[in-house]
Formats: sequence, structure tokens, C-alpha cells
Amino acid sequence: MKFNGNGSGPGGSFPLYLHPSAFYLSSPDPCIMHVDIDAFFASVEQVRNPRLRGRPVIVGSGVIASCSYEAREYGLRAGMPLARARRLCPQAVILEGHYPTYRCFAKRVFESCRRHAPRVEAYLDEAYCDLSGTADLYGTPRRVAERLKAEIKERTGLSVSVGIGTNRMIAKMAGAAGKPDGLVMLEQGREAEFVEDLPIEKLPGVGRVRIEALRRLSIATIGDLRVLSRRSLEAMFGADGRALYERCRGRDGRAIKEREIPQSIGRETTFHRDTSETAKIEGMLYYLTERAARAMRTIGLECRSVAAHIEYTDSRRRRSSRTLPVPTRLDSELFKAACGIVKRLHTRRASLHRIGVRLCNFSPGRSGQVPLFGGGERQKRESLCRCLDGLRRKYGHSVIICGKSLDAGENLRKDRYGFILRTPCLTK
Amino acid sequence: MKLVADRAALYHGLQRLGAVVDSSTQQPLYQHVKMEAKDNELRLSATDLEVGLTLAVRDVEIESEGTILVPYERITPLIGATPDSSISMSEEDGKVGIKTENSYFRILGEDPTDFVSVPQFPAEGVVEIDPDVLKYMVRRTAFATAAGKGRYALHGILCVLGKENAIELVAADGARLAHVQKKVSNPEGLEQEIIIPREGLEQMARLADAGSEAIRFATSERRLVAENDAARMVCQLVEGQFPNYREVIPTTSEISVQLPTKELLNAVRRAGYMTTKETHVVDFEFTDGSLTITAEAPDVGRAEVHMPVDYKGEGAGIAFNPENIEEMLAIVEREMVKMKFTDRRSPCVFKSGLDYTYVVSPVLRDEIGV
Repeated sequence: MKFNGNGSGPGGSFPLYLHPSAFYLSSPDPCIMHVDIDAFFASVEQVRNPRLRGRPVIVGSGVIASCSYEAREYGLRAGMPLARARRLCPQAVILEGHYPTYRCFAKRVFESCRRHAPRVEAYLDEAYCDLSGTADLYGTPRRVAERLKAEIKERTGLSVSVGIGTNRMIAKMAGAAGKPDGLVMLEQGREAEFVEDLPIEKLPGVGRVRIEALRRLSIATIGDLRVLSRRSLEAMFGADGRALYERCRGRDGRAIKEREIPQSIGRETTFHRDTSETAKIEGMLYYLTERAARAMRTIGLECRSVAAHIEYTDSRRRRSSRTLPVPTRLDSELFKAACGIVKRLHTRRASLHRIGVRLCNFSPGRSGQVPLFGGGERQKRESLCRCLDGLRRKYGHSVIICGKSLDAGENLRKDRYGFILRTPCLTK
Repeated sequence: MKLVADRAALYHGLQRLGAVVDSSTQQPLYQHVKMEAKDNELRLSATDLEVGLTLAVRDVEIESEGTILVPYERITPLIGATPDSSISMSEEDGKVGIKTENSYFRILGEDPTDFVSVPQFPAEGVVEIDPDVLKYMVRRTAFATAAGKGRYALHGILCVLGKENAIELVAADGARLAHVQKKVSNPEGLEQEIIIPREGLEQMARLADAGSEAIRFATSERRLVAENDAARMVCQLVEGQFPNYREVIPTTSEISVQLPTKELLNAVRRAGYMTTKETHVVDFEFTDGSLTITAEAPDVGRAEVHMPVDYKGEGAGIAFNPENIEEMLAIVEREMVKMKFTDRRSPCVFKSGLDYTYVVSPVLRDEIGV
């Protein structure tokens, strides 16, 4: 017996013979399961259209957003320009993608996860499930993972890779080792050994810039990083350095959180044709701001910081952000801030290739409180936003397009869900 | 510097300065209190650079003049714990010696030259206010100032000097506004609007704790200086634009009802226990002769409080954040408050006496969480 109800046996007295492990529910061994959908967009397309199965499938426009494992055999990777992909694999099927459909599939996958784990932190195509202390309820983690994989396959037709470990980093790395359709479980105590020989770029928190810095120190594997002391890492990378010190030893203290309030909501896209026309840039910015703000309002938030970024035609990038005096959820106020940033950033006489906006610093909405000052105008704008959101929820985003965005979209195709952009705007 | 002071009076003065001694560790200099023996009086001063206060200590015999900075956190508890009735203090090259009948302490001080002192009282533009009136006004408004992030100007209280010796204090956050109007002595007929930070105004009201005379105040160089016979304070004024408060005080309303203050406070408070952070709303429902206050949170429960009221007419209702109502009712002394409103969407006015107006913006229940 491991756990005896609420701890009080018949007659209400506490059974003294309980094994110490009976109390493990209060401090269980951590057990994290990472679920990652294999080649997500491409797999959904293959599920939807059986003729695509077994063939190299690419989803994306301009660059590869996702490609099937058949395509990966030709050396294709996400982020690769389509022109290059066509050269490498002429027989590949290239699709623009049906992003709302993908979201529906992801939702179903995460629903399954929530049935098997008490706490799930879901992203676009992956989820962390906290299985700590659930063994008595759900069975061993391996059994849970097997059942989950089977259920997802049955409900959606998608295959997922599952990694199980004592923390989120290890779970994700273990899952990556078993791709595709894998199930890898790493026993407790073997974390440091597991990460030791992996190349340094596999370590979360190490990007291009840091790889360069570490290469100069002849650090190639995660194990090599252990020669650096906590203090030197801290001196090199600040607070991140401390995290890296732990991570290269297979430790990661980040908890699994149901993300009720996201860190940020961003929307960005590449222009179909690079442009320096103010109307087009502002039009697209308005459209993106509207999309981001609508996503934010749907989950009942308002934000206080707006960031915008641009990329010139020669790939040079600039970004900046500003904090608003009071939190807002109005399209017009957010756009004003975003537009101000872009105007400040776009100083060169070069065309823009990419533009994006990001909302952050969220707080819960005002919960119906009517503002005392500036109520009239603001209230009108708020009800306008509510009406637009309502319309769009029912008939799709493109049922009503703001005049400003029309400038950007005069020769853009659109469907129910809005403009068909070159790179779709999705939030991870 | 050398002097003999009455322990109780000195301790009282030091305690009074506690509110303005800088508690942050950024500026060690301002964690000190300045003691200045001059012209046969001992003055204590402290500042956190937002508000500064200086006051005279009674019953001091000065043998030689001088100035010294003493760490506040050291000297105050020490003086407080000293059993003797009088204390003699002296300065010896930067150290303060404190001597009683059976003890001797030497505390390291600081050089007082860089210490920002409270400026002299301006000669012009002086307004005089009765200390009790000031306290009354501050008590009725200060609680309504905005806290935390947001519009900076709302962190202060607007003070409007108008025609015919009128003075108004206005405090507001995004959802409510408190307005009180009284008379002052304004011999120069000054008309101006200034925003005083809440701490500054509260310190000004506390000037009346010592001293008996009227409080005089004036502005100079974006600062407010106020004094009475015992103490003088200075505070930086808040820069910025206070929103137009006259616009949001409704002039007409369809429904007007007199409500008993205490009973209403009790009812709102009790109903408030059935609210959560997410659904922080109490609903007022008027029917012929009665008021029903309800609150409901899906994960907590439901509250329903009835009270008889003098209301006749069709049913009407409005919903508020209970805190906005409670805080106001808690400071109103009159037995009855008058509540005036038009519909569920427009601001509601509470009136107590002729001089106090409190406007509170309603909460739209059906829009919670949208």
C-alpha cells in the first residue's frame, strides 16, 4: 500500500504501520513528459490528404515552415528558402498551409495530454506534462506515454515523440533523441551523463551568438561547458549564465506552469514584395497589430508594452519597444505605439523585408470597470473592438477589414481567416 | 554644539520625523537626522528628498551652537530606551556624545554640509488654513489616490484655490473621484491648481499634531512649503496634467436616495466576502422601499443582503467594486449619505453634507472577463 485515502483509517486513527513512501504525494520525485508533434504542419497535411503520405511535403511560403520526414531525407529543414528546397528536392509537394486547421489538431493533441497529466504547459506543437506523483493514479510514466501516443494516433492520426525525464530540459532532449514517433525515458540520476556528449547548440539558452563565444573557448559539447565555473559563466552571460551552469549538468529548475497569461503575443510576416511605401508598411502593421490585439482580448488581457521589429531587404534587423502610460486593449492605441516605433526604426532608405509587432507585459482586463476619465470616447472604441471581435469570431477575420490594412492588402489574397501572408503569423 | 534636552520632547520629535527619513539604502546621507542648535532652539530635520520636515524641540538649553547629522535608526531607539528625564548632548569632531546620569554614548555622525535642508518660508502667496479643516479634507480625499502603475498625476491630490477663499481637494484613480470643498484665508486672492503628492499632503495635515496655530502654505519653485508655529515641511509637487475632474462629476441624475451610512457599509462589506479577485463586484438593486446588495463568485458562493431604504419608484440597479464603496463609507461621519445615479453605465455620485462629493464609476457585470 502506498497511499491510504486521506491517511486516516477506519475509526479515524492514523495507521502507524504505513510505509514512509505513503507520504510521497507531498514531495514526489519529479517526472516530466515532453510531447512533440512530429513534423507538425506537414503531418497534418498528410493526414488530411492520404495521397501525400510517403511523399516529401513542405508547408510554407517563402521559407519552409515545416517539412515531412520524407523531405528531411533530402536535407530540407525548417527555415530554408523555398527556392533552395525546390532545387534540393524537385518532387516535393509545396503547400501554403491551413493554419487554423493546424491549431484545431494541436488543440486535440493537448486535450489528450490533459487527460493523462494533471498539469500541462502547451505551446504551438509541443507540450510539457507534469507527471510527478501520478504513478498510482495513471500508472508508470512509460505506460502513460504509450497510452497517450496511441490515443493521439487514434484521435488525430498524428505521431508524437515523447521524452520522459526528471526535468523539462531532459524530457525535451530525450524526446528529441527518439524522433520521429519515439518514446525515450531517462532514469533518474543519468541526466548529466545523457547530456555530456551532445553538441553545445542542443543546450537550451545557447544560440548563435553564444555558440560563437563558446567555440572560441574550444567548447564543443555540453560536457565541455562544465569546465567553466559558475562565476565565469555568470560573468559571460549574466543571469543566463547561472542557468547554463545548472543545465550543462542536466539540471533545470523551471516548473511546469499552465500558462494562463502568456509572456507575449506577437504577429509578424514577410512582405510579398519588399517595400518602403509608408501606406503599405503601416497597413501591414495595422493588420498585424489587430491580429495580435484580438488574440490578446480573446483571453481577456490587456497589455502595457508594445514592441515592433523590422528587417531590411539586406537582412539587417532592428527592434525596439515602449511602455504605455496605462494598459490598453484598444487596436488604435496599440497601433499608435507600434507605428511610432516603426517610424523611429525605419531610418534607412531601404525597403523592408519583414515586419512584426509583439505585445507583452499583460495584466488581466479591467473586469468590466467603466473608466472614469475619458470614458465617452474610450467606451465607444471599446465597444467597437467588442463588435469587431464578435463579428470575426462568427464569420472569420476577413469579414471586415480596416481601411488602413486595405493599403497593405490590395493585391493580397485572403480567405476566411484573413490575408494569406507569405509567412503566417503564429505565436509560439 | 552642546545642549541639554528633555528626553520625552526629543524622542517625540525624532518619532515624528520617522515618516520622512529615507528608508531606501540608496542614499545613506538621508538616513540621518539633522540636529541644529541655533538661536536658543534645537531643530530636527529629515528628508527623503520627496518630503522634508523640520521641527523645533521644546525645553532645550543650549550651551553652544552647532550642527550634526546622526543616523536616525541608531539614535531614535536609544533615546526612546533611555530612562532619564533629561539628556545632554555634545559634538566632538564628527561624533555625537550622549550623556545621561549613568551612561555615555558616542555615535558616529556625518558631515552636514551636503544635507538638503528645508527652505525658508516664502513671503508671498501665503494661504492659511485651519488645521482641523485641513485634516478633514485630507481624510476625505487621500484614500482615493491612484496607487501603483498608471497616470502619474493621479498619484497626487489636486489642490485648487479659487475665488472667494474657496479651496478644493480632488483625488482620483481610474474608477473613482473624491472631491471636498472648504474655505481658507487667502488674502492675496490667489487662484492656482497644484498637485501635491499624497505623502506630502498627509505630512502637511500632521503638522497640526504639534503646534496650535493655523497652517500656512505657499508654493515656490515647484515645491510646496507649509508651516505652523512648531514645524515646517516641504514637498515636491507632482508635475503633470490632472484630468478634468469637473467633467466627470455628473450634474443630473434620475435616481436619488438617502442611505444610512453604517448599515450600508456593513452590508457592502459582508456581501464583499463572497467576491474574488476576478469577480470583485457587488450589485445594488433598488425596489420599492428596499435595497438588495448581492455578490456572487462561481468558486466561492453567493451573498444577498437586504436593507430597508427610503426609495420609491421602479426597480433600478448598479454594480460597483466593493472596495470603492467601502473606503468612502468608512470615512464619512454623517449618519446618512445621498446616492444619486442614472443607469448601470454612468458614474454614480455619493454626497455627504454640502462639501463632499464622491463619484464612483460602475462595473458592467456582463462584461467581466471579456
